[in-house]
Amino acid sequence: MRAGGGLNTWIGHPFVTDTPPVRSLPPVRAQPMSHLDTSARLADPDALFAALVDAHRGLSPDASRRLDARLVLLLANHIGDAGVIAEAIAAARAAGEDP
Amino acid sequence: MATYRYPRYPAAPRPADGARHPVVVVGGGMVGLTAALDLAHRGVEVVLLDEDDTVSSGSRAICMAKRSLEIFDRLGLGRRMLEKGVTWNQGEVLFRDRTVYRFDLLPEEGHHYPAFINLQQYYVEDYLVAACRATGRVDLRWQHRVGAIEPRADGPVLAVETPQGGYRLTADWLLACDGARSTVRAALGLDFLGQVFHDRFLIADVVMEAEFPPVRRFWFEPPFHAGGSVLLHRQPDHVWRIDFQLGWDADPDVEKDPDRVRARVAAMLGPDVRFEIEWISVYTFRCRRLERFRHGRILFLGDAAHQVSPFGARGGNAGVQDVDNLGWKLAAVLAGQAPEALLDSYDAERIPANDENILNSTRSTDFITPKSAAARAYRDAVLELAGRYDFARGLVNSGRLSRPALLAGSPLNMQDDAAWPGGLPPGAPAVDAPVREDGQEGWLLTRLSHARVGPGSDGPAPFRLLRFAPPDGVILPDVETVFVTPAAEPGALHDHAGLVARRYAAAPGDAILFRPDQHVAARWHRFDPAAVAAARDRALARARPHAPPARQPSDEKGQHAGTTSEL
Ligand SMILES: Cc1cc2nc3c(=O)[nH]c(=O)nc-3n(C[C@H](O)[C@H](O)[C@H](O)COP(=O)(O)OP(=O)(O)OC[C@H]3O[C@@H](n4cnc5c(N)ncnc54)[C@H](O)[C@@H]3O)c2cc1C
Repeated sequence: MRAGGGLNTWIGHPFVTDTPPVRSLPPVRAQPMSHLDTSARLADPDALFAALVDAHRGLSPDASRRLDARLVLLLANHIGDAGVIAEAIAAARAAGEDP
Repeated sequence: MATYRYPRYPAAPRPADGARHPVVVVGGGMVGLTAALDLAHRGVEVVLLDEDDTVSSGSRAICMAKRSLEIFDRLGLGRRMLEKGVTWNQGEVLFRDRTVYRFDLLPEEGHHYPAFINLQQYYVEDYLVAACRATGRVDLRWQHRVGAIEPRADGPVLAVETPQGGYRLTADWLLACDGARSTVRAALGLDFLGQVFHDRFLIADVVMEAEFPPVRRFWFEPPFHAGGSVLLHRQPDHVWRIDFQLGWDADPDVEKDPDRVRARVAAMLGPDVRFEIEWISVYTFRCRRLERFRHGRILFLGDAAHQVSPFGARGGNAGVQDVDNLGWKLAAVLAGQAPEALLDSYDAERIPANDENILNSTRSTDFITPKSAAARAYRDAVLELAGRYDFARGLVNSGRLSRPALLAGSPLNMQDDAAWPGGLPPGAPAVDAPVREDGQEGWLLTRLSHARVGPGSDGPAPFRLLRFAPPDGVILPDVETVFVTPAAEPGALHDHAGLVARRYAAAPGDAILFRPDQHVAARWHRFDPAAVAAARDRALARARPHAPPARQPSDEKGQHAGTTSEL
């Protein structure tokens, strides 16, 4: 359960230099910027919808909210690209506003 | 307090009216005392005014960070603090009744000082007072309260109240270290803006014989304190700090009732642990800062300039870094080595540094005290995931503990003129490493701070050049050269573990220039006395401000620029 790096250690910070910095190497630069893909990508949309709704069965509103949050966090980590996630947040917000 | 006897310093007599002093420090808290000591070490005479007659009362700062200890080491107090303090490097985060996460803040060997010690603020100040006295250069004036200030172009005039009546004095330079309720700040009518957090915390310092390891422990919603968080720290003298989150609606007077506190502590420790309560307080906090820290000849340091929440121990430690940043600059200005414009770099360097502290502290607080149902759901989701998945541990925020500022964008930095494979970019504080000198074990940082007899090396603002080369007899006029070699050689530091070279990513022939506060000013793959002189001039703000530090136009691969911006 020990952290390998990140904000709670000095790894990646000049105090701790023996261990390769987790976040700062290799320099992430000049990579093509990826964008949120909003094209239709799901093979079976109905099944996905059902799976999401099923996951909430029997949960209180609070527990349900936490489940969604866990899901978002897992998926966000899987995507791993802060720019894409920021675009998704903006898209999600915009879609909920009055047209 | 049962474990500590407060010293009572005698009130200083009222001096004659109208004297003028080069430097006056207002406030003898941990920051003002450190400032006075630092300046005294640089040969400056200081008058320090404090309205009180003793050290920090009650229970406040305990966590002294590595960088502060390194600064205190330079001031001759590091060992004493290390010996008295409780050393810790590790933290544990628990959610309900399970450990979700452990971290190690310094998972490597070869450092003089640990990530943290816990030492009560009153000890720190007590040691500082004794050290200030020992210099013979600090005029400590207890029970001298600054009541009013008249700013003038050539230095402010202060009206000071003492038990024997008032007097006036003029300061060429005034260091306002008078804390969160700063009189100087109010007298200048400066805004102190920021965010108030709607939560209350109870501090219970208890004395007990307990064998918990010296690990920072933080609980979210433990069974013994439903709905809140709890933080446990071990201090010297068998004192333990327990910090209970109470919520905004708690009534501070009710919560301070000792019986009520005893019941809370007993619920936490279980029926078998005997303890005595040493101190109780209920606090709230804010994150805020002054827009600028320099106002002509008045400079603000510590809580007078900025405030954060205690989570992350970034308050007092930031103040000590303020001192480290300003001390040599003011000494250099007073000695005529640098123009007054050098003092503007105090703002340029310490404002971003303190914004980083405020940002970290605000984020921790938002995690610990979620402000909405959604924030709470995300917080709990993170904690639920953290027990199982590594990625979620990095999202748990029980306080991002104080780290020194990197001063990446400072106008005093000389940009690298070649690529570096890592190491410390200009602006970064020096990193320690074990070295041997004349067969004696020692530390690089010690060698980079304590003055050595040598031509031009001493003085108010000593710069040092670390050269990864055997001694070649080249002596620079204003910079002390320290040679480092992989094998033992007379006149050089022996990098016996290879850690100096590794931590600085240095190859034979490289040279690194350190400012008097041990931050990197410049580094080169080739030793060139003219380049060293130019970098020193820049770090003393002597270089004409022709252009901002140049980015490398030819730097297409972005190797070093990328590393710098990520650090
Ligand atoms: C609960 C708690 C826990 C904390 N934990 C930590 C921690 O673990 N680590 C950490 O680094 N920080 C911590 N802090 C923050 C730390 O205590 C402060 O940042 C630190 O005290 C700031 O020092 P200072 O010298 O700027 O101000 P202060 O300590 O407030 O000192 C100000 C001084 O000015 C004097 N003064 C005020 N007005 C006048 C006047 N008009 N004339 C003359 N003298 C005057 C006062 O007598 C006082 O001595 C904690 C704070 C709290 C409340």
